[in-house]
Amino acid sequence: MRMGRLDPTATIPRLADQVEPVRTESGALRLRGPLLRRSAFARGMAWMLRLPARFEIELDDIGAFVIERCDGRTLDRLAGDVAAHLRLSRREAETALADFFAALIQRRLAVLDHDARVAA
Amino acid sequence: MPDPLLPVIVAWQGVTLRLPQGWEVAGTYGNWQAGHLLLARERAPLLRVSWERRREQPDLNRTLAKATKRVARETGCAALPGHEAVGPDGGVVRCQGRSSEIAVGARRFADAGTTVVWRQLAPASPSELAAMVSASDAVGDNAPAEWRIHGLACTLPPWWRSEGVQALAGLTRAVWFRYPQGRRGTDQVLVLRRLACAGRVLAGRTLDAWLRTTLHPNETATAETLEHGVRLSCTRPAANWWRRWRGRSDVRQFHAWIDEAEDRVTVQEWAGGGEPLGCLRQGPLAQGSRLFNGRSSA
Repeated sequence: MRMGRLDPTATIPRLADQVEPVRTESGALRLRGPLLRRSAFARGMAWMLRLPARFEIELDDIGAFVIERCDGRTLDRLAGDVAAHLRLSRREAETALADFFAALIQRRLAVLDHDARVAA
Repeated sequence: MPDPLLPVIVAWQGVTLRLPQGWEVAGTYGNWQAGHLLLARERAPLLRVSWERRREQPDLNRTLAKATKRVARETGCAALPGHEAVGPDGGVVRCQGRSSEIAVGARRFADAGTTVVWRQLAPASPSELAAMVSASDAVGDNAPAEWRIHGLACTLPPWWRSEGVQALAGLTRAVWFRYPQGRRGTDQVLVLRRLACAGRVLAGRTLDAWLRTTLHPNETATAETLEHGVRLSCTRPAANWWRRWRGRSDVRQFHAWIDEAEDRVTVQEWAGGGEPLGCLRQGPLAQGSRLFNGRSSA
């Protein structure tokens, strides 16, 4: 994914459909993705290699901070929140967010929506 | 007297620049001898500053002609005749295109044997560029140099040359080697790291305890708590068998301090032979506008 081509003021990140945020007993936030669709051959290979049936990751407190704020805010606003929370520069916050969402999107746990109203 | 409209200072490879508010370094290329910086504001590239050190005396008109020729080739903006003088050794040329106008500036620092060229990447005021050209400074090979980039700030003695800086989210890291008297071989190395979220990084440990987690298993360290932070002097048997046989050891010295206001922890790691570098932490006064050698920037 090339985050550099996106307009952060018109891009709204959100969790992908069927992704379930779960709080663990220790208070950490887990993102549980849907069961992966695989062909029969891929299912067999996955069974042999003991690959997980779904993506599931546990976020640290910074990741949880970002996910909790994915309520329709744009990337730009999220970057401002992260920068203020962690006392980072704007550029650092944008870079960190871009890497974070790129990792989530690669695991099919998040998607980026384009806000046409802002872009217009 | 520093220009209040140019409050941002960037010092890299012996060239000190003053920039308007909000400008930052987007890319660094090259080395002490020649290279360029890409400067941007809010993801928009605005200026390219290149430098070159040569033994022969640079000719300002020739430098400007060469720079404008390149601009014309790449953007189609043709240079207007003549140039606006910026002091005795600098000038700015306007380049007119079909719908936009950009400016190119150059200044030669005869004492430092350095020529610096500014090239606007987006249409902007030529007078602003002239102010930047006027406020810049450069030092020669055998002079101490100020380094100020991505939040790192230090003044190093002569012959320290940076091999590069890496700016990641929450981490800035730069590496210098010392080439004494311009020799090809290095005898000392310096690494400066500046990490964000100092509280999270230290996780309740003291600076001393945190630094000790980075040591080699066979490294012995003595810690001193100083006014500014902590100093850790480390020795370990030399990595090279010849040096071990001669009873030599590898020496490293760390200085670390916390910038409470910005919640950053900075680690200065020095290694090599000879006298170690002192702590490079700059006080609040040194973070201001004074240049390292006390010379006026204008």
